[in-house]
Amino acid sequence: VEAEGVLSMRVPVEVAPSAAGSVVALYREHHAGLVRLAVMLVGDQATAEDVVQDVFLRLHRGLPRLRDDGNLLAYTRAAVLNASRTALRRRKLAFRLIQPYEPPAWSAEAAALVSEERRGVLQALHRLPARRREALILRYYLDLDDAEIGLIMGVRPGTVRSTLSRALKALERELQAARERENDPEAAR
Amino acid sequence: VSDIEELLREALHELADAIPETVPGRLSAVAPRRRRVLRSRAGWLGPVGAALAVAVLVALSSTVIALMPKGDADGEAADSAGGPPVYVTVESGAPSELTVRETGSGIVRATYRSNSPQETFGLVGAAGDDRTFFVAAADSGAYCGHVVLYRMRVSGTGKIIGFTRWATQPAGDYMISGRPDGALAVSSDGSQVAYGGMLCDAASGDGMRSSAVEVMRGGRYPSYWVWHSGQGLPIRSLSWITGGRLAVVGYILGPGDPKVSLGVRLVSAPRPGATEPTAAPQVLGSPSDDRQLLDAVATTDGRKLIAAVAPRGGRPPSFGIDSAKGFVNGSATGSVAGSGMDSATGLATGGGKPTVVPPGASQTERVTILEYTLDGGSSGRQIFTASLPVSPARVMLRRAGASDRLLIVTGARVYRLDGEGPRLADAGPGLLDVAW
Repeated sequence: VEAEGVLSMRVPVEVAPSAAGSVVALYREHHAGLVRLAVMLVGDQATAEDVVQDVFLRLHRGLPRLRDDGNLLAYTRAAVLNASRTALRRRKLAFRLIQPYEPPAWSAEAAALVSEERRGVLQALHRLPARRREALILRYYLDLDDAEIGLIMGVRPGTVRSTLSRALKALERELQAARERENDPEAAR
Repeated sequence: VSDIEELLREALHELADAIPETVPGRLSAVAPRRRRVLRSRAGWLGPVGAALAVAVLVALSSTVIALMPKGDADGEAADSAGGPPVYVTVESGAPSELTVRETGSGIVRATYRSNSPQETFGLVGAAGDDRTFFVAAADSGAYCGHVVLYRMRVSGTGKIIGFTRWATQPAGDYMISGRPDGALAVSSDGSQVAYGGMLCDAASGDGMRSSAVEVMRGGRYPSYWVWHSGQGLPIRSLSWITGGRLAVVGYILGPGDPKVSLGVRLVSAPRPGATEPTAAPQVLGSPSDDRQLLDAVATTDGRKLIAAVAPRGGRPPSFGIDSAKGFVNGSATGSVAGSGMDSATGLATGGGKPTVVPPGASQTERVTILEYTLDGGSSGRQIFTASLPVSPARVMLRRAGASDRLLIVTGARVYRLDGEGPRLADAGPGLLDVAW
């Protein structure tokens, strides 16, 4: 049995009195971190806060059937990942007519990053396919190992390893292409 | 670890560090979801989107109420009042920005930045619901000018849900010196805002030759003066009291008296256009007392005035008085009115090199809270004295809504007052709610 609508992975669903307390503790300790993770995925803080609020709302809904088996944080991160994907899909449709309220956090306009080089890295990161981008963020921001990333992304550790390897190579290619565009704008056209 | 890995790690962590922390106080408070404001390219999407958003929010709110826990084992009870109390600041280095902070912890819940870089905020006041704030703004490049009043509404989760231009002060040009200066008080129901400051002299373009208090009522209603003084002396605080009156605390100059004193006068504000004669001001103290006023607030019934004072610590007075001309000689210390931790900055001249002193800042390590009876003649009775962790530290007093419970703001420490005296209640910046 799976918890309704909370996560895209299997969640223990027996009634457990400790679950409510665990969710409260999770909320207190990890809300800010989850918002930051969501910002890296969706690009702006307003959407990220909505994503995290949705996740906790769904956790409330599933609370009576949720049991904390020690992986609640991983489940919640997976939920944030899934909700961010949904937000990005909606944005692709909606933003043909509607502008985002805030520029992406890695854009020059947002001015969140001081270093031009680091801004370029994040811009290149967000040109990668979603799965590769997510794997890189989970590894290099959250410092998770292959098994933990696999749990969140719903794939085997071996798949995580190969995804990360391909993602790093793709990121290097993106950066190289960006450098060439910068050095020779005419050729880039 | 390759260079690309290291670069990516650094970039992600720098981005994470740049994201402000917005930790909600209670889990239940997360439920009423905040919706982003989207700017529509297509005109029809605006009203349609708004209608859909309202429908979604109504549905969601109904759901959320049912989802809210009745109370958790660890005390995380549902907060039907809609989240923790908040206060609003205009902070150092960001005069065009408003910050909504959670009372007690000081956690930032929201920020608002003016659309105009020329606009600076200076004074903030709260209505009785503690969710409606009024903010005075002015042109940063102007010495004399109008004050614009904005009304800001804050949701139960501490988010800014409304920000509208409420009134433009039209009765006269005030000395603003780049940001609103003076004092501001909001009536408990939020329908009237009193603003007090020094009027600019039309002929010379100089300020400080007269002071005035006017009442603004928003939108289409004209504002009107309720008190006008021929002496250009700083007004330090305003408090609404019963009967639609105002307690005006400021510096006064008696007839033929070369010395400026601190005083309070009660001003009637019965109707537009009427400037009522006021009773003689009650003298509270003099600059020669070697104490400076940090802030003052009158109780709702107008019977008492609570003042925070501190020794001057050997520093010069914050301003001088030209007794021959009857106005302040040099720049005066700004008012401490408003909820802002650093709501205004004044220049202390004292005959020497001007020194920037945040108004309401104690320059010593102690603050004393005094109680005056507004019967025309009492001297201040000491309530308690507290030490300050840093010096100078900002100290402000605020009345909580229509009650006489007071909020005491210190720069970096929170004290709680009970029958046994002041006790350190919490670390970090915040407000203290005192049952007075």
